[in-house]
Amino acid sequence: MKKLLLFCLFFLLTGCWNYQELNEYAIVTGMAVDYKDDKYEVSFLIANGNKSEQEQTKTSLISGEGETIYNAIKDISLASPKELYVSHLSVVIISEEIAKNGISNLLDYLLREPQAHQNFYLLISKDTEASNILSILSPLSDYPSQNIASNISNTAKLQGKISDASFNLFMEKYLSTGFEPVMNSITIIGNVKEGQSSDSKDKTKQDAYTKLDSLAIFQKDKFVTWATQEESIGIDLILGEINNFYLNVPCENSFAVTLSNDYKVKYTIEKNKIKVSAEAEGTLREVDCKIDLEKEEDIKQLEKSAEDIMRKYMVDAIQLAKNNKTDVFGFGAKYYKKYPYDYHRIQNWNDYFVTLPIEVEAKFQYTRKGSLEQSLEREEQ
Amino acid sequence: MQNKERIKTIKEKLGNSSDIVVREVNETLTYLYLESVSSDDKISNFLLKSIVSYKKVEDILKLLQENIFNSHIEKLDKLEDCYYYLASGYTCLFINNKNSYIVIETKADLNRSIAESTSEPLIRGPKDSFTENNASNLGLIRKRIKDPNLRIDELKIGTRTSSKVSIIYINDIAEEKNVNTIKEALNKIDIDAVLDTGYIRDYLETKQKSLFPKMISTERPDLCCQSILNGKITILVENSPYALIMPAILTDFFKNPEDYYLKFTSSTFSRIIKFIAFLITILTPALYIALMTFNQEMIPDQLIISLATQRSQVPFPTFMEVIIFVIIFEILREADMKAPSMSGASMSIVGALILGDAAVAANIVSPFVIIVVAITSICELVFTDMDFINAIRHWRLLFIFSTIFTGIVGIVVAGLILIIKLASLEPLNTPYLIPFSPFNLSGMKDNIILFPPNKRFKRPNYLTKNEKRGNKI
Repeated sequence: MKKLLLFCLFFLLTGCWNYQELNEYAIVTGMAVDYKDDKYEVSFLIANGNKSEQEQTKTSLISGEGETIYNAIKDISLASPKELYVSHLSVVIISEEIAKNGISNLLDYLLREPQAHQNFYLLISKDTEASNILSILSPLSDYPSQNIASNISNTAKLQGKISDASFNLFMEKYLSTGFEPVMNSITIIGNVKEGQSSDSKDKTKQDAYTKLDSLAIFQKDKFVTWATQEESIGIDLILGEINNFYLNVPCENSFAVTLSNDYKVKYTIEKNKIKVSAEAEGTLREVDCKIDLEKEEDIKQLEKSAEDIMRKYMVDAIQLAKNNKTDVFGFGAKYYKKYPYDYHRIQNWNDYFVTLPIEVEAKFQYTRKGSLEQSLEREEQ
Repeated sequence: MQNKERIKTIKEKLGNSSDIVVREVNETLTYLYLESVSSDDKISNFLLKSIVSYKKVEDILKLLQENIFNSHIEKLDKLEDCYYYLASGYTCLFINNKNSYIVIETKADLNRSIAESTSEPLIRGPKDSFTENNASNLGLIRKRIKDPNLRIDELKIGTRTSSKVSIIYINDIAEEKNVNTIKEALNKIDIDAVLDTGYIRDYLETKQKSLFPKMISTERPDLCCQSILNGKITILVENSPYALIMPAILTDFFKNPEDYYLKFTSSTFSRIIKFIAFLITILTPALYIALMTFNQEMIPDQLIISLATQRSQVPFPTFMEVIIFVIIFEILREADMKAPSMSGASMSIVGALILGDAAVAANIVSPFVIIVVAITSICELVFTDMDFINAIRHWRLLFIFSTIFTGIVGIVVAGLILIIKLASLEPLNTPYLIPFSPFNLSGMKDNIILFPPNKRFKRPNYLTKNEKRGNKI
């Protein structure tokens, strides 16, 4: 009897702690932050609208204004009949303007928010307002936010132009010494106004769609500059976070497009010199010239050109970073690990990084030629 | 003693029951039987034919015993003893002026024939099952185990029913201590009736209370024999087609006699499936409530949106939704089991299909609750032991109640209580979770994973000290 009483206390004393029905939540899957008239404008993409007649779920975008991010979010709750629930946030999009002014307050909010999982993606909107990105409907996915998130994770696997970094990886770089973060960018192709209606979704050719763009380079929490597509590949090559990337290897007057599917990078850190040696294996995907693919010398020649291209991408990326005084490759962190005392003597790593000679070495090997033995142009002869 | 006097006493004792038949063969011999339990045919053919010529002969008692065509003949002295025999279908043959009398077995065949088991059918394996006939039940075991060490000890329990209770074991395998414990417990029973093994099972329970059964009840003789050969003890009760096997441990309920007839790989697979089903059936509704009302962050992104949309029109809290549906299902189940098979089919159509579909359409429950309740009840059906299924049902409700208040924490607490409870059980000094806790290698060989036959040539050592199965090993 005593035991039973104690057992009941377990239920009665706790009293439904943390109890909340799922349909009292507005599930936020996307967040966009803009800066308008000296105020933050935060938009939440809420996924669980009521079922429409066609049994399709509706999403809605609600915006709020405020002097701080949190004020703006509380402004949204005034418009929402349900409690905002940000645990399933999958993308956070910030405008270029906010990124330029620094995003430390946003990062602080996102880290501090107890509900948020920290595996969402951070993106910069290029040439458009951040909230517009979340309003573009895609026929391939029910929710714009999930469309973007799966786009990033799939694209990052298949080509080296973007970074697969989720928020916690971004924060890891942001918080570690001698490492500057990069961020993916996203833009809208087409007419924004028409892309927002669900009519556009039903068309075979949409009026507007979102598209991932090149990397944005940061110095601490401030956006500095855009990298070009080639420089983005260079950054990813040096970071070594990718496996698959493709190269346009020059061959006669045209290109032999090569897809790398195995990639490794090594760093040799010395006190006044850093050496990056990259090694890749790959296959041919499109041959546009009259090269003889059965000759070993020709393949060797092609491999050499591929190495040159890789080296060029990496050198360009390093130059871009040096020009903007931001070590996006994390050489500082690696240097700190090896020479902690010397690192502390250096007052500003980014200044030192600009003067540091960085040597780049690339190796490339063709393992396969794809499903075709010889180049088609040569066969025709 | 005079025959007329005896007949009068018996008739008075039985209240002039209408099924008493008395025939005076001649001035010396009179017989009496109850036609409801006796076979008239047997009596006229074997008894009457063999006694009709005997009249006043000296030493008639001995002569009769020698000459009646029947192997079940007993000589009794006290008249009170005859009532048990009469009810058992014996015929009493009285001789004038003699104190002793004879009872002759003339039972009517009131039994159904041995048929296929309805509650535990197998695809591959023997098809016979126990019936209500005690002798044939014992026969089904005896014909499988021809070992002279097979012991069948019999007791009579029940002040009014005097039912035969048989304890079956193999002398040199089963622990004598366990047999004695069971006999002691049975001897202590003081009730008027034992109509089924269910009447005595509670008396065999140990001090520790638990919803989980500490004995297997089965109608399969092959399962009984498998258990007896491992050192377990089987109890059969007259007029009950269900045997009790003691002691039972938790993993026994994941086993099936078929496991040993099939290839060990497929048996292992089916046991793993059963184990998964066990977890699903006991946890799913509780987990659903916990995820829907406390720990939404654990639901995958895509799923939470569809769950929230499905639920958006439902006015009740999630736990009420689940409880309503679990209870409705339990009612349906009771109804389906009790209803005659003719109306059973229409009941399941109306109950499951129409009711479920309409409840979703009317926004009383969300479709996911129906999935949860359906999967729980389907997983429950992989088990055959009714007591085990009932234990699962009760624990499922306990899990649901502890989740309503505390979410995932409640599941963890209820889970801990369940594990502690199970670990503390010791039917006949056998730990209930034995191959796992305490760890036992010989038990592990025939557990969730069934080892090939050449790897388990020894009996599990927690049941018996005589581990050798063959002569050589």
